[in-house]
Amino acid sequence: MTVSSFPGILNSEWTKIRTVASTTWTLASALVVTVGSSAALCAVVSATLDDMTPQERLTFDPTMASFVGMTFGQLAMIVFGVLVVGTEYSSGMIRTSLAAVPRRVSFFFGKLTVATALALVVGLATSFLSFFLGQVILGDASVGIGGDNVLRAVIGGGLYMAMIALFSMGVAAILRGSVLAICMLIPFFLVISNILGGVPATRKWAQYLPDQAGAKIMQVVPGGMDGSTTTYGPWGGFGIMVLWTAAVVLGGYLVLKKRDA
Amino acid sequence: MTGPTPSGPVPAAATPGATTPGGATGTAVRPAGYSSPLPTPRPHLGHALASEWTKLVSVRSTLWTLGSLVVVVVGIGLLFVAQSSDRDYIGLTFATPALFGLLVGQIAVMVLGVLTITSEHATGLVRTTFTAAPERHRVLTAKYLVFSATAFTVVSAAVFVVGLAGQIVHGGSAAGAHPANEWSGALLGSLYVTLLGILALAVGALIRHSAGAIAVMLGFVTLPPVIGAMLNIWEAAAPTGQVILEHNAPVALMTLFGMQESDVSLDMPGPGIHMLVILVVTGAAVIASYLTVGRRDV
Amino acid sequence: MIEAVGLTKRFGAKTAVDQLSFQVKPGHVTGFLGPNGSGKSTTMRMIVGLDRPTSGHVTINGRPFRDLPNAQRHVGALLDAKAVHGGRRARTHLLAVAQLSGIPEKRVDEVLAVVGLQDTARQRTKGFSLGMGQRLGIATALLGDPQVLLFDEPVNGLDPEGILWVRNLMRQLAAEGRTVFVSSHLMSEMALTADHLIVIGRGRLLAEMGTQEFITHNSAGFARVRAADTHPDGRDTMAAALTGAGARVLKEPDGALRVTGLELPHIADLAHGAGVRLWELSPHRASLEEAYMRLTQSSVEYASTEDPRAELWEPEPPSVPAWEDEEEAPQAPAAAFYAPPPPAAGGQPFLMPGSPGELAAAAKNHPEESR
Repeated sequence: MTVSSFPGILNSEWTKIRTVASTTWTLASALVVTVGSSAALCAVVSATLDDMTPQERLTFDPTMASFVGMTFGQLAMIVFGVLVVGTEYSSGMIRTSLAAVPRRVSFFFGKLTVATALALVVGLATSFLSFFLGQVILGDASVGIGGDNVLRAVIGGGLYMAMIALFSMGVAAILRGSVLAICMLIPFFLVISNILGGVPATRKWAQYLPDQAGAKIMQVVPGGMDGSTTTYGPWGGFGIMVLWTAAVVLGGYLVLKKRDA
Repeated sequence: MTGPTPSGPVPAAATPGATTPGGATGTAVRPAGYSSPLPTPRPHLGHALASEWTKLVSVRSTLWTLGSLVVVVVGIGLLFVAQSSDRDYIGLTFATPALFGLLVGQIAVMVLGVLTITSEHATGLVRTTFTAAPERHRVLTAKYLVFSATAFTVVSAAVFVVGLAGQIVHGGSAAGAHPANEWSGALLGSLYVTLLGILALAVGALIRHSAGAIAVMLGFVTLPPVIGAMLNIWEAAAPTGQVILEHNAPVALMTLFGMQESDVSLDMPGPGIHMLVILVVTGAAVIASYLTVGRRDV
Repeated sequence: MIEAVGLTKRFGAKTAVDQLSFQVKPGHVTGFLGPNGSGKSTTMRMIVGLDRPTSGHVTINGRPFRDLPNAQRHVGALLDAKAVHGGRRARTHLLAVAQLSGIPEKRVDEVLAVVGLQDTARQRTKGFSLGMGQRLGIATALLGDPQVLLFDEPVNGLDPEGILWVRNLMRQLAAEGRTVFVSSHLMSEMALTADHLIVIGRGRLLAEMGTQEFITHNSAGFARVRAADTHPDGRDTMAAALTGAGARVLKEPDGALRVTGLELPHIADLAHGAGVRLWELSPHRASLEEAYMRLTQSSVEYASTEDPRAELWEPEPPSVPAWEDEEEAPQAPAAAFYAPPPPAAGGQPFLMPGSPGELAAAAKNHPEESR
């Protein structure tokens, strides 16, 4: 049969992913939550623009401001990524899948390719929507898409979302299940990373955590908003995130390869 | 549509004995007939409680979640007890060391609460359960009761182990006065975590999906501090941000375990307010779960 | 006794079950037939209160299922063999279900023995085969020793010995005076198990009658007549005589005649009168499969055009006798008629496919032969 070819696998994984209700739910809430809460925050900001000190005005990053909601939206992206891999295990589908595609490397990377591509599309839609809606709300303080580095930041927002999803897929593959993966990832990204990044003592290490490093690609004004400076640039930060993700995905692959389904 | 019928219709169903039964299994059913010899008690909540208890103790996830809860709470707690001196307890209760483990361990309680119901949906067992017991509220009530009792027992036991260790090690006069009623805070704290678990069970009953319900619960306990801090930056939203910062699960636990009082905040909500908030939220979710579970197709 | 009146279930715009009314009486095995997606499972789920009917109602012994005081002692159901928590041991699973209605623990061991799972009772069900899962599901249904039993596709995944066991179990349960309602898409299995049939298609009732009656009503039996090859005109003479007597005659590829509308003795008399020597005069009965295919052909939900194999493979010539075109039966050399005649009644199902794709789909559904 032709199903074992890589395009065949991509096709089959695409079918799997688009026929699962959780895909729609998680991706839709990633978009809605991000755009919605970013817009809400931009509304708050634009209402208080006059109260800003000159220093604050100087470091105010309208692009970054319109991406604030990603802190929450990435939660849904994490769930999406975890479920893509995790449901294979919880439903026992993995046995069927591996029987149909005995070459686990093709199966695994086929699945990740499709899911990441989908996450990237939704991520880009989210970041563009978030950006334009945020700038409309910000009014006077807004920037155009043609501004210095702005387009990079907006595309970077989509890339960041896709990387978060891929990272989650890798973790779910290592842990071979959804529940444990979610219990690790959500507290990590929402609490641990934030705390480590917020405390000055740990900040110099925390800046190399995947989400802290990756988020730099969405920054247009260096050191803007949170006032922190890093030893790497936007693409450097994203590169760090990619390295993390690659390591986790590799780990997930090794687990899949070594252990019985 | 009749064809040639030389010998009448072939009795297709009349030849089942063409092959003989292949094993002892073929005839093992007792000739029970209509009047079954089994006793016919009217099923009540007690039966459902026994059933739910059997279910709870017969899966590994219970052991894993509660086990990790105990390990984290007792482990981190004892570590803190060992590292602290008597003086540290002047402003704290002896049970306070349990707080740090509990902030992580509450995740385990919520996961168990969610899995109590979503694992039945994920496996389809819920259909067997509701076919055997169509009075779904009886089953749901039993789930709530068995889970709450188990969770509360384990959480409070772990907390009191840490508390007792603290009292034994640091119970000297240098630790200041420790009235007996400081234990009520620890008890309330355990109850608070149990209520989070009940809320998780209710969310699981509403969402019916393990990962989704767990994500919602994790969001419920981790997002408010982030949102509050974010809103606090901007003056217009600061009041709202402050309210969120003061009324959320981690802050509530700190208050109940006597951590918050040592902070300089002016008028932080007291234990009563925190318990009220979680009771209202959990109560609403539980009521919603009763309303939907009885009505929904499963 | 199960009684459905005007049972209807809609999922959004799709009507899964449409105005279904039927009765399932005690003391019989009642088969529930229908193509995939015809609403069998939805109906069963409504009977046990898992789904709420959009309209209409269904009662068990006169009461809606959810009003039964002790449901498990009245109704046992196997709806889905995989509906168990894989991490739980088989015996614990049964115990938890039994405790729900206060059924004593010793009953758990009884039903485990009934289904032959006593040796695997302490294994986690995760490692169970589909057949073992079916047995566990049947054990769950039997726990309450109920008067009414529902089984949705109980023989799926069972080995031949298991299928025979289920068949005998169903019949025995019915003989004890219970109401036994079994859905299946294995026609041959139903023909052996059920005394009574309820056939649905696209959620609507197509037939409700005895199995035999159903076959007689919905299928055409025929006689195969083979004239001696030694006489070149024998076959044509015979065909003319039969047609003259009002029979419908079709020519089979190997030279035999397929005759409908006449009794065998009458055919023999005609042959004698026409002076034709016969080498074969045999009755061929339609199978339940054929009857079922005829009845449900128009109501197959998942039409075989969706069969993906049609895209992948060259359509193969049908392997059943090509007599579906009644008016112009293919003329074939009458060479190899000593070869055993094509398997007929009870053997290979006589499908009447409109296209090779349809045939492929139908054959896929009933690969097993039970006789």
